[in-house]
Amino acid sequence: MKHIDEETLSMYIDGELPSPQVKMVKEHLAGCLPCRRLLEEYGSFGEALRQEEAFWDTETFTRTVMDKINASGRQRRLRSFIPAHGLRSYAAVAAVLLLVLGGGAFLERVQFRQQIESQTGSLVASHYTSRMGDLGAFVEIEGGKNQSAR
Amino acid sequence: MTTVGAAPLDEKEFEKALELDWIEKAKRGETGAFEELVRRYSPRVLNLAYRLMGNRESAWDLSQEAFLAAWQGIGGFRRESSFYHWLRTIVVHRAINLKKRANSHLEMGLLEIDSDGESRELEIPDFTEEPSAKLENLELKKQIKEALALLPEHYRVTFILREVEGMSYEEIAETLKVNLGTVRSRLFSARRLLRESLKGEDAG
Repeated sequence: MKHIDEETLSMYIDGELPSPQVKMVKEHLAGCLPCRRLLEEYGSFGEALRQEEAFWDTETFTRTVMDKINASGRQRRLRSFIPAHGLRSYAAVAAVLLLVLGGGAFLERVQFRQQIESQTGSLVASHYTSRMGDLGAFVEIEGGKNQSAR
Repeated sequence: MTTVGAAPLDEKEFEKALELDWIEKAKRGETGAFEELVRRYSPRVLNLAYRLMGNRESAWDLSQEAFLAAWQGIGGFRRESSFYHWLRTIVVHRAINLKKRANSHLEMGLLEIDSDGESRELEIPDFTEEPSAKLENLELKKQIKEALALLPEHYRVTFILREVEGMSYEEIAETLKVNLGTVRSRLFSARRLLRESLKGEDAG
């Protein structure tokens, strides 16, 4: 006797077999004990799986999930208060300001150096240009010396 | 003058309307509404995750991840499917990725049988006792559980979606992004492997 192939039986148990084949399978099963037993065995696998229910504390689970969502919401609100692109803009503006101020100070320093060098000679100038606070007095003193030497 | 009132909703319709309201509110960022969705679906999600992952701890973590992902992605949720179906897809994909990373070595050497459309001749074994009676035996349940855990991942997931979630072949194909023939083949192979595995244990 030719039995139903396993794939057809698998589709039959899943209710996915086309109607004409369903009729044929039913007729066969009515007269074939081994096929009926195979069908029952297939059914028992799913039954065992469905019985595998576990007890869950769903209230604790819900609270844990919501705590995480609320915590991520707080972080998101904090991030939206100072958005990432805002921080980048502030950093860019600060960098430009630093460049402008730093460049200005450098140019001022160069101008002072040129001014001093023209009056006192490069050796003295290089020694004193770093001491910006004393610069005014230095220029005055050295200027006076030059004038008296002449 | 007669007034025409709206027909009263039955319980099922009311629950559906309530759920849609929660979804819309959750989309607007109302966490309280999303909490109701978590409360409603956490038992189903936890049990599905438990079957997919095989242990409570992983199931708990996976379920949390899935709900967090759902919260983050709820803005993109369309009503083409139910909320649970959408959530289930998140759970299944995350479980597959997690298991793939953890168990990839277990699948080596096991090949999936592709659907070739050919009917297979079957030799039916002669059972000595009724399977339903056997199932009452706790030891057999344990054996089935162990055999399920040993199935290749794609067979096991397909089998769980069919047997526990009651999904049709079409729904499974859509969720797992495979064709119908692959679903059919995986289910048949899963059952055949389970049977062989249990036969082996009986013999041992």
